[in-house]
Amino acid sequence: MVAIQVEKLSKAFSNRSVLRGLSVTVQGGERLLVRGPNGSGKSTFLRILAGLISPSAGTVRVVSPDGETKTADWRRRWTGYLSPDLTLYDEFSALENLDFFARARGLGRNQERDRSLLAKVGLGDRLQDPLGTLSTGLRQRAKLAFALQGEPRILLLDEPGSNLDQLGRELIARTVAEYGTNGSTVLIATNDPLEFELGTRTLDLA
Amino acid sequence: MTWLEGALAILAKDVRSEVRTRAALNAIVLFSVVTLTVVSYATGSFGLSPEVHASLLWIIVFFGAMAGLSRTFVVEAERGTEVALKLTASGTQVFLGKFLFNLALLGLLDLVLIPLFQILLPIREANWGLLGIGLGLGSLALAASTTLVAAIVAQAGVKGALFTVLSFPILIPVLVAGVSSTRKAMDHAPWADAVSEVQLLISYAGIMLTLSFLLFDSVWRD
Repeated sequence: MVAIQVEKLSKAFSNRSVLRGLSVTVQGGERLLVRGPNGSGKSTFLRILAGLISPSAGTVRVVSPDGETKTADWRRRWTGYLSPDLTLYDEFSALENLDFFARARGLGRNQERDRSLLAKVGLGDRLQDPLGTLSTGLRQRAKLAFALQGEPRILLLDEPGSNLDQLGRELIARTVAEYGTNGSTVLIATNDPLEFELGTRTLDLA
Repeated sequence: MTWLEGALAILAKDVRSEVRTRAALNAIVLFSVVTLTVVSYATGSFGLSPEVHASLLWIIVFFGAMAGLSRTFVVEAERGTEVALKLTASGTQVFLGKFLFNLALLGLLDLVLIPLFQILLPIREANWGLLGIGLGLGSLALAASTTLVAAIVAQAGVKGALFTVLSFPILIPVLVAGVSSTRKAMDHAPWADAVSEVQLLISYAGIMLTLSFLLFDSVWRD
């Protein structure tokens, strides 16, 4: 279990300020729902937590129960991230994508593990099809499999239900509940009322 | 070993992706073949001096490289796959994987170019070993410096000719040493005559690789 400690976090793009002095602590096992109107910085917040962009000011620390601050390498290994700006390789199948990312993450090759994960997200019968030939909903499921690869301790989901049908949304709900129960720290950024009940606590960004 | 395995996985992914999409290979090989064909047609049966031969060879290598080497990063940025790459691999792993891929592309270009050059613009006598070493080390230096520049260009909003504009000043020492060693090789000069060029190319490649490993994370991350 790890906690995410965010202190006085700010982010500005050119002269436009997106986040201003945001402070929040998310405990291990907690599911934080991040809400706010378009442009309020929900996605930017998650991108900073994922290490994709640096904050203009403030700090983000991932801390274990014994007070140890986790390194950037640890965060990269143990963070799962799903967002609309994430794209997998269209010319590769879902299985090939997972195989590549597993090796890049240092998880090693394990086709059974990858097949099982893809079956879990509902792609069991489309394993070998190039992602470019799949519908946007099925690609979203492949992106979810990417986020869940390596059993992350921190799960960052930005608009996870986009392009998903009812079964897909139920899959997201089950996944969030499962990861919250097993002690992972889960953050969900969304404006979709159907996803508001995914969180155990809500953070409203103005 | 995990670090190296990650870098090699990126190399293998790029090779597999290139085999399926041919984004960079088509650009490099087509440019080189078309340029060489046009030049051989224009010069006809005139005997070219080693100086002109060497310059033409390096002009083709340089612009062939400019046509294709930036693709490896630009494609990732344009398709949005760089986000997934940033989430799964460290900057130095990405650099090593992409550098090796660019080196393989240039090696392939050299392998295609030299026989074609010999057919269309024949070189009568040459120190082939020196020619190969000069071209190989020049390609190593080209790949070492352009991989970092390609990553910078991929982050910029306006890509276009930016890659060539940024690369050219950095690559002047490589081009000077490369043309000089190739000219000497085509003049059938002994190895001892080209020691300084070979040393310069090795040093340049070493410096650029070291700098790239040190700087790449900050270029790649934000």
